[in-house]
Amino acid sequence: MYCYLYDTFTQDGKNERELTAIEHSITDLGLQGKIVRLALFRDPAEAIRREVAAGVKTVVVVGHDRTVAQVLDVAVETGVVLALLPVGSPNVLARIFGVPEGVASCDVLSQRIIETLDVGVVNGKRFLSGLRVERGQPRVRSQRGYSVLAAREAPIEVRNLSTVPPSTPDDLSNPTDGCLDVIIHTHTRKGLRRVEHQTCVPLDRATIEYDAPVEAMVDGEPMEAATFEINVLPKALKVIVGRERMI
Amino acid sequence: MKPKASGGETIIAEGVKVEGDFTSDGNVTIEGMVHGNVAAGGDMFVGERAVIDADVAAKNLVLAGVIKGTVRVEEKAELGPASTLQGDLSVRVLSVAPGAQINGTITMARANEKQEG
Repeated sequence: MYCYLYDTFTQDGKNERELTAIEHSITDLGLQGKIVRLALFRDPAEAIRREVAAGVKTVVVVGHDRTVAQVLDVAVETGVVLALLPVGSPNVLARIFGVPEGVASCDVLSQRIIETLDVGVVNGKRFLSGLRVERGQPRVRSQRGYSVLAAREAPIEVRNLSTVPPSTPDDLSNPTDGCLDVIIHTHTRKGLRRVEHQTCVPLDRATIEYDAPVEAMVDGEPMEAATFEINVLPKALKVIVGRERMI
Repeated sequence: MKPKASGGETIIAEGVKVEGDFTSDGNVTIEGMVHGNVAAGGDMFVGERAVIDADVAAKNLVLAGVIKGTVRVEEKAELGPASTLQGDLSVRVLSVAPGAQINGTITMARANEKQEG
């Protein structure tokens, strides 16, 4: 049983033709389900909990990456299968999951290939892609008894998938290995040339500390803190993916 | 899930220092500094600019930089021309390039012998 969750922006007139085509395809494939339209003061989590209690097994997000971020918590908590019919942008997750835009996305839904992915947590907030801090000198303290220290200011990423749109599958971290990749970007100079370096440490639990609060972008949303407690929830989210997936 | 080639590999790059006892189940590349013991379940590569002030254990080792400590390698160790090892080494197969410096005792086990420790 399917529940289709339409983001608010999909109700603009400019998406009407695309949505009509998608709805016809869903009907042709026999994948009909209840439609829930998000609105300004409607909590998507509450709507999904209600539908799951009524027997829904798959929640299909009709929207983009930020729509997925809105329902990530409730999808993990209820164990429902999450699918994506990409409309609007940014839709990096759809590309990673191998879900094409438009009517072709319905075929992916009908094929029902399910991957179970890890989900990251930072200061109690779940994330699917990753977090990135541009400024500050990070100190990463692993629960395994060692610290990784940047010698000076250095951008840091914590990746479950990627914090930037990937060009190839090699740009992605493995979201099924039970670890988050902590990446520290440093550089040295050789004459006038700037040489970039990348430290990569796979960790399941760590603390990233700064001397003063810094801004992190977590799945595209800002979070400010001086200490970031991170951990991974292994195999916490079931998603429907296409054959052309990057993971 | 499609396989990923680089999954689980640890890289400590230049400009980064590790403090404490560091362990990894996979391969480890060190180009930065390490103060503490290092153990890799897979292969370890120590770059030209790397300085490790600690005991090291790995399945295979390629050393191009500096290690100050006891080194225990299960299989093969390769010491490059600019490498420095200040400490004891136990290994099965050893390759030493001209110019490499070793100040310590080398213990070589046969293929069918288990290493001590």
